[in-house]
Amino acid sequence: MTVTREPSKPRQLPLDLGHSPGLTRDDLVVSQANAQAAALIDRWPEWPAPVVLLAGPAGSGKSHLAAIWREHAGAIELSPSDISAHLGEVGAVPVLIDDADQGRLDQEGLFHLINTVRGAGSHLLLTTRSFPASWGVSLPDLASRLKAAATVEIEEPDDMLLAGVITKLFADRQVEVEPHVVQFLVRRIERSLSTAIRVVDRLDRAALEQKTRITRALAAETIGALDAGQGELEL
Amino acid sequence: MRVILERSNLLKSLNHVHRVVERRNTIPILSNVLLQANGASLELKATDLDLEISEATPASVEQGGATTVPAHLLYDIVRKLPDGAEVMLKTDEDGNAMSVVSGRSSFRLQCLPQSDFPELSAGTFSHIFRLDAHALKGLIEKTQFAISTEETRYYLNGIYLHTHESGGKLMLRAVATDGHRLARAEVEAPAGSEGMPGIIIPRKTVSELQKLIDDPDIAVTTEISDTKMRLTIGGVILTSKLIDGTFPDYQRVIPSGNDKQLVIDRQSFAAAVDRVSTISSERGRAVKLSIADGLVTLAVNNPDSGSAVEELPADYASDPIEIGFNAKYLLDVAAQLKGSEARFMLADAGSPTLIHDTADENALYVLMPMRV
Repeated sequence: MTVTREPSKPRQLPLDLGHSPGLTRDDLVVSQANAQAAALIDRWPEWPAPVVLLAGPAGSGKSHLAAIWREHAGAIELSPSDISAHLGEVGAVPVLIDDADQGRLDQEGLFHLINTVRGAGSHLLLTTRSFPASWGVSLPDLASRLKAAATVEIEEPDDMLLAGVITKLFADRQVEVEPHVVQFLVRRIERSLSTAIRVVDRLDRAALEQKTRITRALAAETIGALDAGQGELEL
Repeated sequence: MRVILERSNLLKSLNHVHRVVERRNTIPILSNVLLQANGASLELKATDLDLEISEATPASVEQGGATTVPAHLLYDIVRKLPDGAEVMLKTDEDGNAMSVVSGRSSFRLQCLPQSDFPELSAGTFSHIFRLDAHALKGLIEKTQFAISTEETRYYLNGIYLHTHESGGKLMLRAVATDGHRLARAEVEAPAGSEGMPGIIIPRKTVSELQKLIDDPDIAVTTEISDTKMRLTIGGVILTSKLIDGTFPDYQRVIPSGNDKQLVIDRQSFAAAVDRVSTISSERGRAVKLSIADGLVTLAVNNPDSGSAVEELPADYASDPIEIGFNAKYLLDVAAQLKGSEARFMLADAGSPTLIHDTADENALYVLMPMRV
C-alpha cells in the first residue's frame, strides 16, 4: 500500500476566547512619542483652546487617550457623521469625536458644535489620523474654526513605547511574557502600533493552539509566517 | 502532648490532609502536618500556602498540646501499622521529637514548633451556600478534564464557578477550558449563591475536593469571597486561595447556530475513535470524520506508519461534511457522557462543534476542530 504524504500536518484550531483591552489611565504606556498627548489629557480642564485635535497614526493610542479623557471629563461621544441631530444634548458638557477623519463628516453639525462648545466655555476633543487641511472641508467657516484649534501630535512609536505597548497587549490577554521576547519583537517588527497589535494577536493564538508559552522561538516563527504573508489567510 | 487514638481514624484523616503537602519543599515547615490535641479530638492540618485542609478526629487526649511532624512520613508509618491497632502520639518534654507508639512498634519523629506553622487566614466571606455532594461532584467531574495545564495562562488553570440566569432560573455553573475544548455543567443555584462573585478554583483544589467528596449524601457548605473559598465537607475543612485572574467571556465560543445534527451511539463511537487512532502519531492525533447520510467514516492518516478507516451507522440527514478532531479530545468528551447516544451539533470544518449529553441536559461540551 502506498501512503501519500499530506501537504501539511494537522493543526488544532483554538477557541476564540477573546479578551478585554484595558483602557484606563493606568494601562496607558507613556514615552517621548506620546508624552505631549498624555500631558494634554492629564492637564484637562487647563486646555490651551476650547477645541483640541489629537493627531497620530493608526494604532498609536488615540482612542485609548480619548477614552481616558472621556471618563475623566465626563464627556459625551458623538459620531463624526451624525453631529447635528445630537446638538441639543450637548449644553455645557465636553464632547469627544473619535476618528473625525474616518468616513463622512457632518460639517454643518461640527461647525455648530464648535460654536456651542466655545459659547458654553467647555471643550471638544477630536482624534484624527490626518490634519484638517486634508479633510476636504468645504465650509469656509468650519475650516477657519479648525485652523484655530490647538493640535497635539502623537509621533511614530519609539522603541520604548513599542515595548511598553507590546507588554500591555499581552497583559490585556493575561499572558506574561519575558522581557527578552518583547525586545526581540521590537527589533523585528515594523515600527507601528497596528503591526504590534497584529503580531501579539497572532502570537497569542499560536501559543494557545500549541499550548505552549510565548518564547522567542515561537515569536520568530510567527513573524516569519506573517512576513511570508501566510498569517492572514489562516485566520 | 499525649493522645491515644484508633489507627483507622488517624489514617483516614491523614489520608485527607497529607496530599496537600508537596513532596519537595524549600520551606521545611510546609513538609509537616500540624497536630493539635484538644478536648476529645486531635486536629490535623496541612497546607501548601495556597490550599489548607484540616480535619478533627476523635482521640483520647491525656495531655493537650500541639506540634508538627513530617506529613508523608507519619502517613507512611500509620499506613503500615496493623489494622485495628491503637496509636499513641507523645511529644518529648523539650518538644523536639514526637513518639509514635503502637503495639511493639515505636518511632521517634523530629518536630518543628507549632508556632512556625503558617496560617492561611480565611478572612471574611461574602457568600455562603449549601450544596449536596452529589451536585458538587457532578459539576467538578463533568468539567475537570478540560482544565488547562499550561501555566502561563494561569486564568485557565481552574474551574470557573459562577451563577448565570438561564430560562428564568438562576443556575450555578462550572466552566473549564484549555483553549481547544470547553466543558460546562450547571445545577440549580442553591440559596445564598445569588450575587456571588465568579471565582476560579485552582486545579489542585479541584482535585483534592474531588477526592474528599466520595460520600454523595453529605451536604457541603461553601463559603466564598473575592480571593478565597472555604468548603466544609463533613468534618473536613478545605480553605483555598482562588486564581487571581479574569475568566474569558466563554459564552462567545458556544455557538448557537450549528444546524447539522449528528446522533451516534456513544460507546461504539468511542471504541471506533480509539481503534483508528492507534495508527496516529503521538503528536498530531487527528481523526477525520466524513459524515454523510446515515454514515460516519472515521479516518486516520499517519504519513510515517499508515492509515486506518472505520465506518459507523449514525443518525444524520444534513449536507455531508468533513471535519477533523483530536482523537484524545473526542475520547475525553465521550467518557463524560452518561447517555447511550452522543448528539453533535456541527457547523463547518473550521468552527466550534457542540456536543450534548442525551441523558443530561445540564452538561455541554464545545470542541474546536483540527484542520486536517
